[in-house]
Amino acid sequence: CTPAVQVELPKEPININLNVKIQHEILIKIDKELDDMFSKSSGLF
Amino acid sequence: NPFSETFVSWPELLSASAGKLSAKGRFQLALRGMSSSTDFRKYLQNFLSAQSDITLSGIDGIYNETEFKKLNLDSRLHLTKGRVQTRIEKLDVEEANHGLIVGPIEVVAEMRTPLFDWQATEVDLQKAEVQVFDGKARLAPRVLQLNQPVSAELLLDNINLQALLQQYPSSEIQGTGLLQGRLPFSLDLSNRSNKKPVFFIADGRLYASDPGGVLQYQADSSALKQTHKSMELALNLLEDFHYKVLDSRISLDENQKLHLKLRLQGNNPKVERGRQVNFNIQIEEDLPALITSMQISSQISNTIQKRIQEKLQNRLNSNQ
Amino acid sequence: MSLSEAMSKLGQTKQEGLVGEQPDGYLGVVKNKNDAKNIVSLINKARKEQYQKMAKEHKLKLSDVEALAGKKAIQKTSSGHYIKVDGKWVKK
Repeated sequence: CTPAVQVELPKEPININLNVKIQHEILIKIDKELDDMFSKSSGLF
Repeated sequence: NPFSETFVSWPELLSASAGKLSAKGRFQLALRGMSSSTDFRKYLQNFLSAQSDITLSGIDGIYNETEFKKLNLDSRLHLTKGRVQTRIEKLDVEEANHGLIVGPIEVVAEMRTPLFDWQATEVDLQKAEVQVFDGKARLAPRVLQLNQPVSAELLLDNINLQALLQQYPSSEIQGTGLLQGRLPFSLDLSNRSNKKPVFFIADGRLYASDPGGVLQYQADSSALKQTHKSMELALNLLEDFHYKVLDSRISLDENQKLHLKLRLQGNNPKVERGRQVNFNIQIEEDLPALITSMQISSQISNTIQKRIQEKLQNRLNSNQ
Repeated sequence: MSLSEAMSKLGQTKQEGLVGEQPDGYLGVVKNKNDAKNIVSLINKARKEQYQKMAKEHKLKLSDVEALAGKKAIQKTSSGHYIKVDGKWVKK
């Protein structure tokens, strides 16, 4: 018979505290990038 | 368009592009007893009476930065003794889009407005509901005085977390779960003179009902994991976090910063052999910036786009 | 046909009203003449690569970037060129 390996799962839960500050400048930057992409010189427009 | 000629104080930020307006009514002004010395205002107060039914149907239009579709209104106006009584039998809007797309909206209310003191309007709100994120947000019926800070409670039923996160302008987070909530808020319309109405939420609560759900946060820029070694475990856990408890306290302060105290309990089956984890996450979000981002990425009309660009332009210029 | 060739012909092809801008951020064929089809597929492939790069770099949904691009493209289309409105080709 195969030995039953009993792995004792640590009981107590992990406690994690996080502080998150969300910035939303991204879409404003991308708006500008698209401006360049759709300018006459880009060739794709 | 047909409407702007009829209404004298038509707010220039409101434009309607389709729909029908029909109004019929009686207007009486008893002239006997009128003499030159009578105070005309007091006279109007006592002797002017009018009654009219106003119905709007299928109105599409834009108010400021909100696009609305298929607005229908059944209302009865009754003016006596210097007070306008407006009975809104039915006001429903199929869809409103301010970046965040909601609808249908349903309102039933009665308004009592003193003829010469428009600000002192009293609104007896009997029903105010909106479908949002496959669930419902509604205001508990109450009487509101518009010239004082309005405090009310927004009740949220069966909000679908998945639908909510789909409208959130970031591809990094998905999730499932059904949320219930209570958001006590106050809105001060009276200080209209100096700036936009002040709106804040105090001690709101949003929690997931049983059996919970899944939260998946893919911080795909693995750089994030390297730079913050301590974050690595948290980020690994959050990649596929099966939660039993999701409970959050929400507040929105006067400078429109949204504070979320989120409590999460659950595990990630693939991390630490599925060991139980308790998260306490404090999130701060800049609500106006969030709304602007949603507006930029949402499907709203060109006129609103222009207004947003202007808003962005002067925001960029102001903090140059 | 190479991408650079498609790019150099794009302006003229728009001028002749063979191709137009769509709300999804991609080019569409208005009239299938000359090599309009080739130009559209080459340009769209290049655009998609840009959108994917932007979406990844700014952690955004590809569909959001495409929607933004579509709005921008239509906004910037010069009058007389074609744009697709509610599924129909219309001259701006």
